[in-house]
Amino acid sequence: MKLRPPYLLAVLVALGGVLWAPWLIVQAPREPIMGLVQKIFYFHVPCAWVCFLSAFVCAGGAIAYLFRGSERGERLAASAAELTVLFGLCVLVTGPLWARKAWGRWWEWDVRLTSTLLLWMIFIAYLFARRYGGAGGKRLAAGLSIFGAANVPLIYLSVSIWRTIHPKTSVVPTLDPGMRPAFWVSLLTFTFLYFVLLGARLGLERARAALDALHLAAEDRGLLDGEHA
Amino acid sequence: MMSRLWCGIALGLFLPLASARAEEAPPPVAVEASRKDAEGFEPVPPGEAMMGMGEVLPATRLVAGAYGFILGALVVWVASVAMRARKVEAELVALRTKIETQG
Repeated sequence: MKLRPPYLLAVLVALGGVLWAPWLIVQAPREPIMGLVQKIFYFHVPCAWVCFLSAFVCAGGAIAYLFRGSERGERLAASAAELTVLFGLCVLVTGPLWARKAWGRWWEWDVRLTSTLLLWMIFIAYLFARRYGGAGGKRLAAGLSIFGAANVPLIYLSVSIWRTIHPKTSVVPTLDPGMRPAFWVSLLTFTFLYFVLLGARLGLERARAALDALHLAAEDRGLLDGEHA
Repeated sequence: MMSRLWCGIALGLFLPLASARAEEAPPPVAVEASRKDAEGFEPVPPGEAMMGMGEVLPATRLVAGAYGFILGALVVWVASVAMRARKVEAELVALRTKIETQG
C-alpha cells in the first residue's frame, strides 16, 4: 500500500506525539488537591474531544449519504462511527478511574456521565444497524448517527445547564501554565492519531467496496453460480 | 347521611395513619437546610463516608490503568483493522484470479 505524503506526515506527527506527550505529562506539575490521579485528565479529555469530533465526522458522512446518496460519505460515516465507539469506550473507562479517587465512587448517574454513555450506546446501535439492519440498515444507521451527533453539544453544555459533580468546562481555560504544554500536546497527538486511524479504517472500507464491485462483476459473468456472494 | 358516615369512617382511618406517619417523618426542613452548604451539598458524616479514613487508593495504578487501557484498546483495534484488511485483500486476490482464469 502506498502512503500519500499528508497521511505520512500525520503518521509521523502522531508517532512523535505518542512519544513526547507521556514525557510532558510526567514532567507536568502535580495538582495540589488530587495529586497524581489528576494526570488521567491529560488523556481523558483528548479522548472525549476525539470522540465528539468523530461523532460529527460520522454525522457529516451520514448527511452526505442520506441527502446525496454518496457512498464515500457512507464509508466515512462507518469508519468514524467505529472510532467514536473506540474513543468513547476510552472516555467511559478512564473517567471512572479518576472518579474513584476524586469522588470515592466509580460511577454516578450524573447528567454528563449518563449522556456520554448514551452517546456511546447510540454509536454501538449505529454499528449494529449498519451490520445487521438488512436492506435499509445503512439509512437507519445514518439517521442514528445524526441523532447521536446532536447529543454532543448537550453533553458539552450539560455541566453548565444542570448541577452536576463533573468538573466544569472552565477547567481547561484556567489550567495551570505548567500543565498546558502536556495538555495541548496530548490533545494534538490524539487529534492526529484520530485522522491516521480514520485513514486506515477508510482504506478497509474502500477495499470492501472494491470487493463488492468485483463480486457483482463476477455474478454478472455467471462465475459465482451456486456460491454465497 | 350515608356520605357523612363514609367521611367519618375515612377520617377515622386516615387520622391515626397520618399521625403515625408524622412521627416517622424526617426532621423539619429548617434542620435539613442548616446541614447544606451554599451550593446545596450536604457534608457526609464520618461514619457514612463512602471511603474509609484509612483506605488508600493507589493513584499510580489508576493512572497506569487508564493509560494502559487506552494503549491496549488502540492496539487491539489496529490489529483488528489489519486482520480485516488482510482478509478482504485475500478475498480480492482470490476473486480476481477466478475472474481472470474463468472469465
